[in-house]
Amino acid sequence: MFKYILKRLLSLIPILIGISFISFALIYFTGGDAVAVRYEAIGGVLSPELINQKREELGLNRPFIVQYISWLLGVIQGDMGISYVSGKPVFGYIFSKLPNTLLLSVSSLITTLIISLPLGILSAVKKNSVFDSIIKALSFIGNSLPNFFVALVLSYIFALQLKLLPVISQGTSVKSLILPTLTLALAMSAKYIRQIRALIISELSKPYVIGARARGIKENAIIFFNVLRLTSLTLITLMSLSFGSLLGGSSIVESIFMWDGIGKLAIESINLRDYPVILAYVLWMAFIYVFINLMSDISYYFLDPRLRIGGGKYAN
Amino acid sequence: MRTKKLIFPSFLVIVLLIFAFFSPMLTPFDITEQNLMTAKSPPSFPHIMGTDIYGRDMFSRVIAASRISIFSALAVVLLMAVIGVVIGIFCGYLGGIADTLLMRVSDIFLAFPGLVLAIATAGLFKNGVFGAIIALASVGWPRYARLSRGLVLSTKTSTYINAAKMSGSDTVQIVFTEILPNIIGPIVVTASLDIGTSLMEMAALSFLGLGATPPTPEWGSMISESRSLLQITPWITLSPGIAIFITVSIFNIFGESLRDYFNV
Amino acid sequence: MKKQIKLLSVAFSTALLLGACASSSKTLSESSASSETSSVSSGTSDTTKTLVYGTGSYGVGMSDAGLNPHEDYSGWSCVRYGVGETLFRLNENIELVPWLADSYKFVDDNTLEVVIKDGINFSSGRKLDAAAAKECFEDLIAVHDRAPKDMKIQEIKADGQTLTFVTTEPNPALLNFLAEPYTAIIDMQVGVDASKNVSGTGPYKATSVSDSEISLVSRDDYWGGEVSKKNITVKSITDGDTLTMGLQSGELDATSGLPYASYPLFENDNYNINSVATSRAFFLQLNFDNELLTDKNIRSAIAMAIDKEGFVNVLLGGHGKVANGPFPMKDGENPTYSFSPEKSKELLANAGWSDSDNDGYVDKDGKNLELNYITYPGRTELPILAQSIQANLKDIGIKLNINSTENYLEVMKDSTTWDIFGSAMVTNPTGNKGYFFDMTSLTESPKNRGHYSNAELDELAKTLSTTFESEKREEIAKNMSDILVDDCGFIFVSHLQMSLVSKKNIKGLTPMPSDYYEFSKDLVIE
Repeated sequence: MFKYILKRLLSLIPILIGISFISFALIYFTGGDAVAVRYEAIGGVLSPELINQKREELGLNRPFIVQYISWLLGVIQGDMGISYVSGKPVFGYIFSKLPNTLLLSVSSLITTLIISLPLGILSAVKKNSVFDSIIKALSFIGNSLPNFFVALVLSYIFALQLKLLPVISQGTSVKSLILPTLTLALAMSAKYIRQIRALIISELSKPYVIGARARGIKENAIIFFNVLRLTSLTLITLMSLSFGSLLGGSSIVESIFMWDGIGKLAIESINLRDYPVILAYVLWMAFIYVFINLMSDISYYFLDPRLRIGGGKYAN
Repeated sequence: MRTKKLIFPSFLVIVLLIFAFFSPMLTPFDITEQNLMTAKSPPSFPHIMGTDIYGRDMFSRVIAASRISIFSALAVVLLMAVIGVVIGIFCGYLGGIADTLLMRVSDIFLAFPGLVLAIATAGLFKNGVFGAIIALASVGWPRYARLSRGLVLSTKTSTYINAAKMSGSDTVQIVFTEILPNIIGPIVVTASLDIGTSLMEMAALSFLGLGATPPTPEWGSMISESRSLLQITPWITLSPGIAIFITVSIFNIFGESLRDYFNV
Repeated sequence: MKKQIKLLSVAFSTALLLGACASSSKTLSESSASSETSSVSSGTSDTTKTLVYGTGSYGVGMSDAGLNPHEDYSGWSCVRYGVGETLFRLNENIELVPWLADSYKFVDDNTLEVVIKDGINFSSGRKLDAAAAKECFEDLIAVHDRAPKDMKIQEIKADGQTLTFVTTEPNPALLNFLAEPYTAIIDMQVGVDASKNVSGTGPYKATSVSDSEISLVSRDDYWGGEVSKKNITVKSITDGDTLTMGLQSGELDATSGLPYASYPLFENDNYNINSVATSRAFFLQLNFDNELLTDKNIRSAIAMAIDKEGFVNVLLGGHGKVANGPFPMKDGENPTYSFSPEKSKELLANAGWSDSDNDGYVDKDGKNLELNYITYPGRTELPILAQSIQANLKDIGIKLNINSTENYLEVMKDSTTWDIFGSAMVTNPTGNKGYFFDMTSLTESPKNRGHYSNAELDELAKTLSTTFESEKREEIAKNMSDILVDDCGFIFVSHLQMSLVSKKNIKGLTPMPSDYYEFSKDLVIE
């Protein structure tokens, strides 16, 4: 077990180095002159000499490979450079925003489960009923609306028309959390309901369920003790994938609701060409993504006894 | 019976595609023709979706935008499916070091945030739409590679392939005549379901200013451009949103009917 | 089997616990946040009112976070929010008037003597004398990026209230730079603290400073007169819609930087809209590397085809001013090239362009007249202007392809990719009118993107840089502006109107043509 985890951890290293190299190269060769772009954006004017001097200060005049290696060495020591824009160390800057993004992701995931688990199970049990059709239609609609559009409409209705919730995110208060969570959770629930429904339906037709029914065990008990347990594996995979994409993909929602997380920071940095922050963001996201994959694989290992005996299928 | 259920969605998709392709010619009004006197008029005849701040006909603009919006999404799906399937079959069929290496590379791209790629590729291609297509395809292909690799692995050892090998068919022949037909179903289904998602992702990138930018007629950028009008002249913001909704719905219906058809 | 159920139940309860923790920590942070704000208002006095001000122009993205004038553009924040003041300031006509200075004189071409007003104290309590100012200027020259080049200072001398600047070469613009916010005078003995807070001479004192928020209190020992008692919170809000909705919902009392589309929501009795035309110009640069545009017929045809009035009055909702040259028009002045599509068509016909194939676009030798327009979406007005001009030019038969991209600098490096560049710039930031020409329109100017070159203009610029007398300077600048407009290498469309929108009970929030000044002692909450 320990050996397996260690092996998996080691295999992350080349992935992370690969990602860092590609992103560094992309930005280096396509990003444009960070110094000039930034001063232009704020309407300021710098003479060419001054621009050159700034580039020199930031170490931008060195050859590509030298810049990359010195950056990578820094990263290994926990130094991801200094933000061009704020002048603060990038590592701490991003780290300080991570809890907000985590909070939003976790609350969206929990909300999604609260919405989709009961609805999914119910529509599976009441397959082809009116209820099932309504849920099907609703989840279909939820699947076809872009989340930035949902965000605009939600904030218009709840914040402005009903005046129930604040417009300007006040730190990480519950009230500020509601709208972004709802936006993310609605779209995800639409997908989850369908998947949970399909899972339960296929599970319900399996012999052990039929057997249990024949033994006179109540339907509810079958669902809660047998079906849910066996489908939990697939659910965990689904959730871990969603969690990864939530961490990376909530940037639009974060920006619309001014939620002070990494996603919003990433978009701001992209607009301001703050390359050290963009690079750090890529690396963070990649790290979180591979880490979550690892965790879900390890949880397989615990939940699926076949793997422990065979060991092979997911071990590599 | 199974085929019957496929007819209507396919018909819808084909009509939509033809319509989108010829859309710039089908607009009732010129999309750049401005008339400041009638700017921001609410939906009425002859402007059934109203006019925007320049007095341009919203309905015409929404129609004209369908070409870029829909075909860029198709391009994303096509690109990632083709690249992914080629690599997936290659890895699955040949195995060995190349397989391990390419799968590691796919891990790298799988873990890449699409947004960041979008900004980098936008700089590379100097054309936002093109850059966004490349960015989304770059992070999308590994899913197809894994899917097709898995499918190849499960068919590779089957008896009919062994038979084909013994009868002297070469690798290329086997891939095209034996493997591809057997794995194409699940891939087509995945791809068709991805069209709607890609359309929304393209729109999202444009919404952030990383894809199409005004005045390129594209639904995401139209929504982004008119966000602050939602309170005052809501039809300008809502019209492209409705267009996205309808289009994605059609592709999703199509994808699901395909899934039922192939039974995957 | 049993073991697995156990594991699962553990997993589920952990998830539940996590959820509970998360929600309880949320409530905690919320309550602490609200107690914080209440303590600010109750701490000083129960009757002190607080004004919450939302602005799109404060924050790291604008390079003006913090109040340290010696860093980047943070001086703008220092002066804007009434913390720091400069020796001179720009009045409502963008003319220099003494502020902390009492009087000044150029002793010779290289020496400027400024007498500082007596009886001014920093918020730290220290008296402002020439020595204190000298300390501040010396730090500025040592650490700031732009100041040394602008001011060209060799030596600073202090004697009582008299401050003397000796420059390395004749520098008539030095006086103007003494109104640049980076020259805001702060108490260097107190210095700059870790949060980038400083002690200045202005009507307000900052109690806390961060990258996204500043808390201010009114000073009761301000030299310029009584300041009504109040607290102000400046919040950085970069999203225009959030700003709009914040003001609508009452979370904000006043705003700067509302989107144009939002103004109709506030044009009623519950709000004040105070506006002034600024020197931020929206203008086009034509690319002289394109042979077509070296033909003045085509350039002036473009100039006369643009419906400036329509752009300002309809598209910007009247929140702007039609321009004729880099600096805002005086009352009664009329644009040199007035809007006339007919004349434009005539000019095109003179140059040999006519629509011979009836496709709506003029052509010559079988080729349509097609131009590429580049601009960037960072300033909301620019894509609007682009689309407006696209329609205007279509009316006279020119096809315009628009590329609006934040990568415009990269794209423009290849000069065949663009013909017209639509951009925005503050043309007169410090009352030194030579600045705009130096930056954009002389043969060697750093922002002369279209390689415009006019010998007469270059010559006049040289004269201007050595002229001290202000009337003479004004005259030369006017001359240069006329030449530039007449040549149509640059087409000036409009000037930005800066508006501060507030609730009805906020008085005295008046914008100035130079956007350095937002909060003055006259700001009152009723």
